[in-house]
Amino acid sequence: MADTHEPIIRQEEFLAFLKGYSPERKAGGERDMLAGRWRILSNQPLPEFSSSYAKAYVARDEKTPDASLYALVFDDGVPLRQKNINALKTFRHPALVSLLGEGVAQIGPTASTRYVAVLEKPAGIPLTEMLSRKGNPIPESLLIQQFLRPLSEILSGFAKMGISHNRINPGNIYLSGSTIVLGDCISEPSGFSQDILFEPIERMLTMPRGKADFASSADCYAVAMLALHLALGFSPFAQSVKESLIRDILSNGAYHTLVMPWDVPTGLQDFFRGELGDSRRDRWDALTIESWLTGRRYNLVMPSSSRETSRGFEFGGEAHFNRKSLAHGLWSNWKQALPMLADNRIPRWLKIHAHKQDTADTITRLTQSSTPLTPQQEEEALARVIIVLDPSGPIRFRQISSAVEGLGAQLAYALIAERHEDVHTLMQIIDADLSGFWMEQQKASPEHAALAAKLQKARNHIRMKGPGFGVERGLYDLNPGLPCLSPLLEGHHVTTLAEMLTALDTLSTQKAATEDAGDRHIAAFIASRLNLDKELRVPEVQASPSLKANFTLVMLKLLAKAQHKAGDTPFKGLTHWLAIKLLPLLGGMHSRVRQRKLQADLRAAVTRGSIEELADMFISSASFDADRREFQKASADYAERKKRIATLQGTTGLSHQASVKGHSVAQSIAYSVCIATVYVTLKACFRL
Amino acid sequence: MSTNLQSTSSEAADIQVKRKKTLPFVLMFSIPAMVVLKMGFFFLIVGMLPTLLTMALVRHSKSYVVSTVAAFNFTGVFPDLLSISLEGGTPRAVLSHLSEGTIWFSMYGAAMLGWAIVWLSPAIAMLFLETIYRGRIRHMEHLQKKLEEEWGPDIKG
Repeated sequence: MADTHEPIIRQEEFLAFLKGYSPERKAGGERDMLAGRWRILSNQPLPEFSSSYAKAYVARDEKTPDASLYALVFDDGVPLRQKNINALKTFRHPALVSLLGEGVAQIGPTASTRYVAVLEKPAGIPLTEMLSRKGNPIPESLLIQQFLRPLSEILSGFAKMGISHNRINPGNIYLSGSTIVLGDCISEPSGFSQDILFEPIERMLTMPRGKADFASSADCYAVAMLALHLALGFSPFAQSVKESLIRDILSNGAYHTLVMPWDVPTGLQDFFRGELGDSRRDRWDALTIESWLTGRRYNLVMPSSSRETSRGFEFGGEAHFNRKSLAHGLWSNWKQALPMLADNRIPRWLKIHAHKQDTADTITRLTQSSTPLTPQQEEEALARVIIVLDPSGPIRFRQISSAVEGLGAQLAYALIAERHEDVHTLMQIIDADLSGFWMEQQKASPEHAALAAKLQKARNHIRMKGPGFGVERGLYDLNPGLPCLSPLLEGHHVTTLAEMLTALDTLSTQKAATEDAGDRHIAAFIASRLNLDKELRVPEVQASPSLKANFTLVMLKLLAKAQHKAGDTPFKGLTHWLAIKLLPLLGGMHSRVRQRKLQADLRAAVTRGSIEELADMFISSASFDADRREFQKASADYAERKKRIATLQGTTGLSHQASVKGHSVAQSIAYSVCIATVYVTLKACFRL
Repeated sequence: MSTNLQSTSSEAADIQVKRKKTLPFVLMFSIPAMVVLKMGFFFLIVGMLPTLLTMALVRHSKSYVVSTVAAFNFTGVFPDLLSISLEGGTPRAVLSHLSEGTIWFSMYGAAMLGWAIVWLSPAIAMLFLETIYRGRIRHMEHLQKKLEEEWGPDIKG
């Protein structure tokens, strides 16, 4: 008789399968080759086109080998400007490098899968080289014809597609003869390495990783600053210190700081006045620039100075003459600013000197409370005061300064770089709904409404703690183009569910023995892609304390949903990996019969590569629940029967029972014999 | 010692109660019997002496002993009692029956048989019960083993 306690499947059987397993689908295809057409020459780097997020290499088109191309190979797990990439695949302009191809490829000797974009290599020299030679101012007509017109056409095209460039600066524009080519805008997040001179004040004040992805007005501003450089023939602020430049612009305004000191062509004055205003809403957009370029004249008055009061607010060792400057001062001196909230100096200054009654009232409401504020509430109040003082500026909280749209990217960076303090601060910003408060201070726009909904959803998801939620979930909700950052998927660029399952299937051969088939990042990535709003539970095993918190079962449920969404493609490696992790759960099952049946079913399911079947077996069939219930009943029966056996084996009870039953039988016999005798005797006497 | 004393006093009280209950019943039975049996009633009393002795000696809680002995005793007395009655219940008939040793043997032997059965019946019943219970235990142990095989050692608790 076979030993029913002996398992019919062992982990070794699945591991042996994985040893010889070769996945049918592998991400990336041939090594150093994108889409079977573009070969990436990973031994020929191009540092001049590289960025902090992507390395550039020479690329060769197998169809047109003479084309001058380069490939951007993105680092593992960096956020991509997906919207820009999608739009630029079809957008073509002679003054813009063309994006020829993109996708996932296996790169380098380790053949790790990376996201790759192939672009045309711009010919010529960057404008920075021309400007460094100095003394070559470009005449107004040439500037308009050769530089501003193509750039404005590009910006118009971008605006129509809902994207922005945010890398318009002399270092990213190449001059070849009489034509220019604008370099790429996808190798890094929006405006990450942009020279602050080419950023409007609201983006100057924002940390490089926290800038909004879409900032069309910043592109127009950058074109105006480029025009200023070219018109002067040199870089006018090359020696300026960043912080002092910011203070000057905040105090006097961009036009007064950047244009006024120089003798610029009169014909460009309107352009500068239109673009370098301090209010984002008042700046010219791409269409206005095009109109101006076609000859329309606006006769704009010189922007007024940014001063709002004659008597400055003394704080942080300087006098602030307007609200924006004070907001920046408060953030720059965060710890000193906190005690000032209680003394009512800011509202008084706003009321008496700046004549901003509404702003003063709002700040009073934010800072005055019937009960003393906790340190955290004080900090949140300060962040709100800063927003009220400078509504067009970024959200500023402790060491973080970020646009609302850039919170997700900032969070992604902080998590990747393991900057725990930044993660904590960003989580507080989201949790305190500072983004919602910031949006309340803006004029209503559909763009902001959508963003508010997205942030609200992310906040709810972050507050939940189960697998598929928490900070990781917020990360993927706020960065839809972000690849999965799971350490398990290192070397794999995963942005879709199908890519994730394929990567896990491939990894099964190396990691099944030692690692779990998933982690919180993978769970959050799947939940985000599946748009799950409720914490995933396994109700079928809720009654079992050992199983209800089992991470493997939750992962199994998530991966099953992912497989279904990805088109039910079989993944045999992954199912074997999952089976290895699920086998110990079978060991916890009491019924040997059910255990053996599940083991047999498990073998069949993994052979078919169906995660959904595995999930059905372990979750939907409620086998564990039935096992638990039946075990409880069987245990009760066993105990009851054990008691009865003990009773039957006991001699005291038995002798008493024997005595009672024996005497009862004896009595019956006596009566029977007596009646029979009487009957027989009477019958004999009376011949009955 | 005190236990024995208590036991003795409770037995005495028991007998007292029994007598009180039995006396009206005996009288109610004896008067018609004397009328019907005439001198045969004397034979009945003599024949049923073992039963009367048993009634006097055995505690009320062991009434099955009295009834078993009485039934067997009456089985031995009844044929001759009927014969005496049919012969008219005369003193001669009674004396003639009492003079036969076999009649004494059948009356008192039957009572002794009753005593023997009372004494032996628990042992015999014990033998039967042991056999039945052993079978039951074997069956239940078989079921327990099946549960252990199905659910493993955890079932033992």
